[in-house]
Amino acid sequence: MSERDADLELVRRVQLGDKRAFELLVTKYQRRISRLLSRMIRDPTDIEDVAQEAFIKAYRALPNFRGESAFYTWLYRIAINTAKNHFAAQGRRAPTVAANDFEDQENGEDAGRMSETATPDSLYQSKQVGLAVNRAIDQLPPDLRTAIVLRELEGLSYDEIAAAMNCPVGTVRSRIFRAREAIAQELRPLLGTSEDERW
Amino acid sequence: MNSGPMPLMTPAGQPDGDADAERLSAWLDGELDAREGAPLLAGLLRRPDLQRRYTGWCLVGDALRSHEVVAEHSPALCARIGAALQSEPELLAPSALRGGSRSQLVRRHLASGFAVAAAAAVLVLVAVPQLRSAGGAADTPTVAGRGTAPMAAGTAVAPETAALALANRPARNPRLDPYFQAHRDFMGSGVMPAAAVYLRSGNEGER
Repeated sequence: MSERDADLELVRRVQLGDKRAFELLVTKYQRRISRLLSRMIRDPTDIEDVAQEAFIKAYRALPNFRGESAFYTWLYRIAINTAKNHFAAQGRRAPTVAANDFEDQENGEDAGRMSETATPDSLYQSKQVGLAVNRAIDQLPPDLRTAIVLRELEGLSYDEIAAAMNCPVGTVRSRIFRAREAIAQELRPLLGTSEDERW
Repeated sequence: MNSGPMPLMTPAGQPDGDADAERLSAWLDGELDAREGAPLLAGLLRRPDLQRRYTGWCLVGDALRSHEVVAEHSPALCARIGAALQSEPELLAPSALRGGSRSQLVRRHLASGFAVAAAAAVLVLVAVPQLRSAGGAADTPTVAGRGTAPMAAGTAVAPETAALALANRPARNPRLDPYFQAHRDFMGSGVMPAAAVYLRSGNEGER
């Protein structure tokens, strides 16, 4: 099983009529889709509108999704098309920078590339998040830090991390879990999510 | 914490929130097999405490990979989409009812791949050698060319039926030989010229 399979399990639940599973996919991909759209659309209100429309379109189209591509790849294309339709409805063309630049962003990684569409607010938020993440990482014990970095930044499997760190897979699983908990704790106040909050 | 649903169980059979959470973390990374993942996913869908953790960890992943991406975090947008979903009908996809897991999908693709490969193998091992040798097919008649009717492989024909067919076949008219010869010459440049000669030769032998 891979991370992609975990998404497909959620998709299958949605296809069987469970909307809550789709909310979990929204939770997971909302930021990446919003980030993608923010590179095409300047107005933050429009970004949210288009993102919502893209997710609802994806939900309606899910019966036709057969898992031949990753869910995010499929969702990403829907978001791009929704943004293009947004421009077409306004009688404008989508910015070419967006269409050309997006392929390398398909995995949600746009390291260090602050777009021209960034607002002072988003710049500030981004900087604060960066500082908080770095602080959280610095505070982690070295074993936890290594495990979470190898997983989230390098994309290694647990088996590969276990081999790299010379420890059992179960230990890797535990370290990654504890690292996530610690970093989430550090980010929570900054992002306005409390422990009681669902989203 | 939702008081309604029962917590998932640890492998030892004891309720343990942290053990569930640790498994959820592994599931998020695709590191649980489907057998272990299914009950965990069912628990995730009904337990707000696990949902909060899931939300936080997705955020952590985005934050580690890109500060810009996580700066787009918008609980309000998620709430809006959640509200919009309430007015959407529940889906019921036939593919999901048929059990469209990825492994099954892969098996289906493999099966069709094998079918194509088998067809290609038959073409290479059976048809091509025959086509290659068919240039001399008229001189080296095959079983079909020896005066028996061509038949599908594996078709059993009772001896009496075969004898009856041989007795009733039309007598060969030698005046038609030039006619067949002309056709044979003409068919030399067709799409499957060699096969055509071979077939003609077999058919001609019957007469």
